[in-house]
Amino acid sequence: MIAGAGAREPLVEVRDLEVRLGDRRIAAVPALTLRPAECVAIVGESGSGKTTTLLALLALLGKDFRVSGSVRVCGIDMVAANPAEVATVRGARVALVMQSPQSSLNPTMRLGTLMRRALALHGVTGDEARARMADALTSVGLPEAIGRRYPHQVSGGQAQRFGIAMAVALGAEVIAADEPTSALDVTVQAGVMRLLQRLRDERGMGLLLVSHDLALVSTVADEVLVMRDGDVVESGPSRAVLDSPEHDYTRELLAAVPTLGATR
Amino acid sequence: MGRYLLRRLGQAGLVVVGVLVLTFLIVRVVPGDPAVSVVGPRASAEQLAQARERLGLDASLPVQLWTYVRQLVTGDLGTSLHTRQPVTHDLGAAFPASLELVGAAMLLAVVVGIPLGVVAARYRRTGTDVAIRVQSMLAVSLPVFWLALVLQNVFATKLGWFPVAGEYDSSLDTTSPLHVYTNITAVDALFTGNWPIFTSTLGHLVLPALVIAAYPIGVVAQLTRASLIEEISQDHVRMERALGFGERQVLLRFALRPALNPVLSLLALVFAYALVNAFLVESVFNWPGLGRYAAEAIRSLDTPAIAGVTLLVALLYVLVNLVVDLLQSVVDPRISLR
Amino acid sequence: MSLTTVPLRPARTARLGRLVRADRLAAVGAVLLLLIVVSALAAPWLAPFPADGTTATHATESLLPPGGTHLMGTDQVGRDVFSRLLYGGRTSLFIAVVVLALAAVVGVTLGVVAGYTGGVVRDAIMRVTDVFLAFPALLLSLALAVVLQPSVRTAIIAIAATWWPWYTRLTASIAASIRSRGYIDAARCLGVPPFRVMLRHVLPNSLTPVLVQLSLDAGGVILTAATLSYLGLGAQEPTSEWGLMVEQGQALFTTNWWVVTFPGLAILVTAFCFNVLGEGLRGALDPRRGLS
Repeated sequence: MIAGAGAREPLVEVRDLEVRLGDRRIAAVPALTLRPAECVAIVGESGSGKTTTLLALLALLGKDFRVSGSVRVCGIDMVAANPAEVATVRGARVALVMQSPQSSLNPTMRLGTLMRRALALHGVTGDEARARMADALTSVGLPEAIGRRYPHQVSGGQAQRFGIAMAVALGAEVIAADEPTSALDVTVQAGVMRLLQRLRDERGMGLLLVSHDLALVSTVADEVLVMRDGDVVESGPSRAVLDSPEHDYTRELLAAVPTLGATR
Repeated sequence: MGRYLLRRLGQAGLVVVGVLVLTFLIVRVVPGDPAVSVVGPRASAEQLAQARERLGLDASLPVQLWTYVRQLVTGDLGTSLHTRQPVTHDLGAAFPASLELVGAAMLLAVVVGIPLGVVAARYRRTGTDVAIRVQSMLAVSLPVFWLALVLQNVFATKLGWFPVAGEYDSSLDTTSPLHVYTNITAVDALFTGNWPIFTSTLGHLVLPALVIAAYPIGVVAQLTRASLIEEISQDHVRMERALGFGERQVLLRFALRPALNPVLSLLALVFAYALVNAFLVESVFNWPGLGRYAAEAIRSLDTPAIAGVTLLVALLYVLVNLVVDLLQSVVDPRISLR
Repeated sequence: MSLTTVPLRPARTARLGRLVRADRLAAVGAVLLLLIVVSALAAPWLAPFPADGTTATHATESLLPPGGTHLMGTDQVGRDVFSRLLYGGRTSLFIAVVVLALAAVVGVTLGVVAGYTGGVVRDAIMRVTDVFLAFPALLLSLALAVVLQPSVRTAIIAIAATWWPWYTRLTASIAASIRSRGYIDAARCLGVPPFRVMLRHVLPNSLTPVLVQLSLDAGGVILTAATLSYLGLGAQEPTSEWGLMVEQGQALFTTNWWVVTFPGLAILVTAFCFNVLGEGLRGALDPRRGLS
């Protein structure tokens, strides 16, 4: 489960990752490290390769993509591993949280059924499963009864929280979130981000956040990678990158963020 | 769910009314002299005049329609020119046999078509997929009556693997008589443990059911494949993979159920197709159902009988569509919200 | 090599080449279909015994097996099956073209009116469409054909009467979606009469889906026409028609297989080619579906 306080073994370690589709290079990340209770954010515009990088962590890129380099997640190299090993990492070690919460849940399945099946897949059944489900739902602030609902019967925010609850129930150490709040209302966004932060602080989860929203990232990330057209143009501690950016592109992104009440 | 049911019933009701009107128009209004089509082309002038009076053809059109509907409601569909029996009686005798045949064909369509579609989706862009697609398209292009003749000729007449015609071996009626409950031979035989007749009926069912099922299998396989491929590209499938489920599980446990939604509504069309194409197959295999009855009615230009069959099948079709729509709302919970 | 010496492929052939490579089956179907259409149109010149295609009979040459001068044998009255097959192709294609033209014209007109007008008119049209669609197509055709005098013309009317509803539904939904877009209202604000709006915007947008639907339907129409003829409700003697030929030969199938087999195969191959072509067109013209 969660590594002890003493061990600061990285949860995710990426070295020289390169993703190609046909002749095109989609993403190239020389280095990325995520430790427990940390948040690493990848920012950039659409087409920068940030989502591709995230998906490479779970080996979720299609057959047409060629992935090279080393992507170690909780000790397993996702690039070299066989399907059985990959399946143990997915869900139970790394959880995916997607951009549109309701469409990422199976429309013909009750939420509770999905969670139960996911738990059973990773070897948790019966009373222990029920206990984990209850604990997970409480920790994200959802009522237990929500398990009986279908995805179209809950709000976007609730669906997103449910996705996070599944991550908690499965005991994931890393939450890989792809634009987790873009499809939500502004007030709901804050709640979800607070939840993610809480999980990071209280349960020591590692948070890998992909976003185009710099303002959002600045509040929660410890480290930031800025990507553009598939390359990492700047990376480092978030305070350093956001306060005194070195690369022109980063400065452009920062300048584009509207600030309320600011005068220049 | 209740409100959806009411709304669908209302729609179906309207359609039924339309069906009645349309059938009426076809039978009474379209031909040159409706009296001829009721009494027959060889009637004398006197008989024609009598028929015209009886039919109330001197009355205005709306009155005629009203009489027609009134007769229908009391179950009077006229008398068949060919069998000289009330059409309702003929239909009642022929319908269960057709139901048996159509049921067998639909079972084949689902049991063979869906797995074929799943396999084609799983192995898409490979040789297996192309083979299945070609087979589907061939099945869709087959003239049913021709296929019936060919299969009968090859497998029954020449090879003798299957019986040539009929519903079951009629000599068994004396050695092992059937107790009739539902009038559907296979079902009755099964429930009463009458194995000789049951196996004989199954044997007789194979060829005709296969012929009728050829096109449905093709269409069901094609739609299942397309629907499944589309479903696999949905967000929730990515999530299910991210949870750790393997490809086979994702396909069969998570993607198949939402993907079957359009297939279910296709089954209503398949039922109608099967029922109508039973016409041709039944006459080739001498199966005692609606089809054979209708084929003979067509040959003898027996208008009341044809009208009766048309009405029955159309109403059945409306009913099946309704049932399938309601089933859909159970399988896919999103539907009942609309 | 300078640009002036390298021959440039015209853009259109390049696109066609891509399409052909993408769906080989459709390409094969298209070529075969072309052969069928050409041979049907050229029947009077291609057929070895053109008179057999229409009225001639030769009692002495009845039921000759395939071979020699009669590529596909002869039927009960001594007519060359191959010639009748070619002439049958003319009949089938003629029926298909007329039926689809009728169905499309009636269906699209009603659909455009329904989709664009909305309200009570739309509801009325759609309900009538629903009623027609409530009948299994073949059944309706049968009933109509029985009631009218059986002939090729009857078959055409009967089949067209069951086919138009699909086009109405198709165009009504397209028209309705276009109507809800802003630029129609903008045009109306500028004083453009509704009729012209429909003509200039709704019709062209419906063209592609209707074309795809037409190619998909052609196979079905040919099958339906053959079925009606088989039941004696379509083409009558001495017209050559594939379904009719099957019906005439069915009693002799066991002993003289060629009378039934060749016409049946003709129906199968023609319908197959149309279907394959239609599917290919749908895949190529509908960007959403892609080339799966």
